[in-house]
Amino acid sequence: MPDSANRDWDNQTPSEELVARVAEGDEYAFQILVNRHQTSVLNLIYRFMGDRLKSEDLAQETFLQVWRSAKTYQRKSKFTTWLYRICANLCLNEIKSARRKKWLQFFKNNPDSKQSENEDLLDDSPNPEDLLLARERNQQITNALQSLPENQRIALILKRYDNFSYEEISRVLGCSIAAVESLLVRAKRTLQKKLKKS
Amino acid sequence: MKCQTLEKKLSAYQDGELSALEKQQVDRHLADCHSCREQYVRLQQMWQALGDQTEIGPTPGFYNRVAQKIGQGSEKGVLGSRWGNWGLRALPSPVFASVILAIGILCGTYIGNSLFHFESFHSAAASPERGFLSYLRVFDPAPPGTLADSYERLLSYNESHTK
Repeated sequence: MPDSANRDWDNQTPSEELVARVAEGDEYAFQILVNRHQTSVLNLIYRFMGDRLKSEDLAQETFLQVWRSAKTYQRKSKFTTWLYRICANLCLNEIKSARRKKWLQFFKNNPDSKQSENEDLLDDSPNPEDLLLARERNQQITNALQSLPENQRIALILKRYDNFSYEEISRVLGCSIAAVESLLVRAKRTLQKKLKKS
Repeated sequence: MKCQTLEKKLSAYQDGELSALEKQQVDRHLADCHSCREQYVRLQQMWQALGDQTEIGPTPGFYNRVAQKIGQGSEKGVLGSRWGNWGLRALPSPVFASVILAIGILCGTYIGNSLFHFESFHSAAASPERGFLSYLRVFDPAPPGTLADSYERLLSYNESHTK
């Protein structure tokens, strides 16, 4: 197949079809899937965790899960819903295990440095003042998002940054549409207060 | 529509999740109510502000690292990568429970036998026939060497000593 035809195939094949091929062990289809969704997965995790390094690890883990459980994917549901459910579960597990570790390290005076988290984000900003302001704003939003309870945070991120419908969010979180609505009302209320203060 | 009702609907209105009728009601209320309109503007501002957060991109070689992890996973197997030294944890719990139960029964039998071995040995030596028949006692409500048998013996021991 010529290169351009290849590229067309890459762009036009729906993700749902690609997962079916991944289930058969097609590595090329998997590579296209990863390239297509890596940024959105990474950003979802980054917004949830607020830590770039951890986000990259979890994003890799998400695709690893996709590879392992491609056979269990049912074509009835949208691929992104399935993908984000994997992603959300990994994030929630990570938070749980971090809490456990925190308990274990309770008596060890070993504070994790959070300094490096956002350092490499804004390389292209035109001048240092803008860069500083943007970085500060970025940190405020990250902090505000981090202050939300986990389910509210995921619901809000999926709505705001991925434009998921309430129904899709309910599938990712495994709850009712009414519950999603309520999560979002509370999340928005909290964020309004937090961002107003800062 | 009251302001209080609208406050609850405002988030879904913003997200475009209301029915046509509800949306119409909210539109009408917002056109008439200044404070609710302001509240909606504030909500929109917050929503816009969230967009200021920078989007990050994956570092170069992202796919290669995923592929590498897949390679490692297939070599180690899921057990190795996920549980490390805690391989036992991945055992299905019914299997684990059965193993524990079997160990418990074996230990119980061993302890029971070792406690009463001496006595049964002597009784068997005194009369081989009685010794042979004693094996039939496994059908008793409290077969020798079991916890029930020990309990019964304890009771009778107590009774004989209190008399």
